[in-house]
Amino acid sequence: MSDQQPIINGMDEINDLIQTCLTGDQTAYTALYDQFATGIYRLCYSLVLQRQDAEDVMQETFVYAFKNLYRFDANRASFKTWLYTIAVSRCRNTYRRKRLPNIDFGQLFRLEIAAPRSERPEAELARKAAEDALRQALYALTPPLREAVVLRYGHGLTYREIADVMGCPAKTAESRIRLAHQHLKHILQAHGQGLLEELLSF
Amino acid sequence: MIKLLHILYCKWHITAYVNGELSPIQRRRMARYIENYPECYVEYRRQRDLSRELAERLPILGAPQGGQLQRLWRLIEGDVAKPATIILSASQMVVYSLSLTALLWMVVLMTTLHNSGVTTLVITPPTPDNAVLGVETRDPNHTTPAIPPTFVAVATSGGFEISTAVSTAQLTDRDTYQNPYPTPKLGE
Repeated sequence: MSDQQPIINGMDEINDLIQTCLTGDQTAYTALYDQFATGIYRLCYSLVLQRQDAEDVMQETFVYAFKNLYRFDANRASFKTWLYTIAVSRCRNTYRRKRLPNIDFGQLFRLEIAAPRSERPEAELARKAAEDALRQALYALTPPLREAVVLRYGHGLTYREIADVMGCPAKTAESRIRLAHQHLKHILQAHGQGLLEELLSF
Repeated sequence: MIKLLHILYCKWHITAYVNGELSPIQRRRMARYIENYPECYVEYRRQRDLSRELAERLPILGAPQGGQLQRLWRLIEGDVAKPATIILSASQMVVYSLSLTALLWMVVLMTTLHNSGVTTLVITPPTPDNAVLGVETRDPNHTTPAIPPTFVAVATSGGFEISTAVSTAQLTDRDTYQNPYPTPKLGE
């Protein structure tokens, strides 16, 4: 297993990999994990907005998916959609469990890994400010709107795929993205300078 | 009025237009409105900028840090290798708990009733002797109370005679009834 995400583009290749997994080949499981781990982690983090929770949800997602791999039907949905559906469902369980506001101790005590030294301090500050603003904007959205916007812009899913993952009609997915746009427009404007200006500054 | 409707249509579909999710006919219509109405153009610019921002920033948010995915993979690998365990949902746990409690209550209730003698209320069918002598005969020390004398018909060899001073207790010791009309034997 490596940090570099391998490139397996074809659906057929993924399906072959799944068939190999079902024969009990451990390397196939590792390859499947390598292919989707980054995306699933980013999805979980963008939805639960906490590092520890995101790790837990990601772990649950892969364990469930690997144990139930025989249930995956390639004729009904792509493996990515199936995996994202499991992840979103687990994230929803996390929202339900944690109705009270949480404190991310990592952020509280600034325990995050430092940025590479090559990055200029101003650039790092601007990047951090932009990321915080985005995180706060996402946090202000309701879970369905957050899910829709994260799946669309964070993972490039089409409205149809978003609807499949969220278990709703395509029109509902479209409405949620439109509503999320309206909310985000106001929230990001409330932060004073536009995010884009901050991004353009480095 | 028509202009207002066009602007409303534009505002309603502008996000889908920016995301390339409209049909070709809708796209052409939207392009026409954006070109003709400044309000639509302003909204289009705003939505396009927001979409670009989100599309640039969201994929970076929550990027895994070095070694994080390997650490998680080791945990996942360990969990997958474990034998399957039954994990009950909250609702299932409530149902099972209630069922178990009800069962325990039933057992406790039945034991209590059995020990308190309430079960003797269940009447058992009497034996033929008991049916004649009644429940009192179950007690060996029990004596049958004397029944006041009454007029009874006593069967004798000559027929019936009326006695006034016999009781049913005495009746049992007397001779058995002799039938004055014996059954004729076959061939007589």
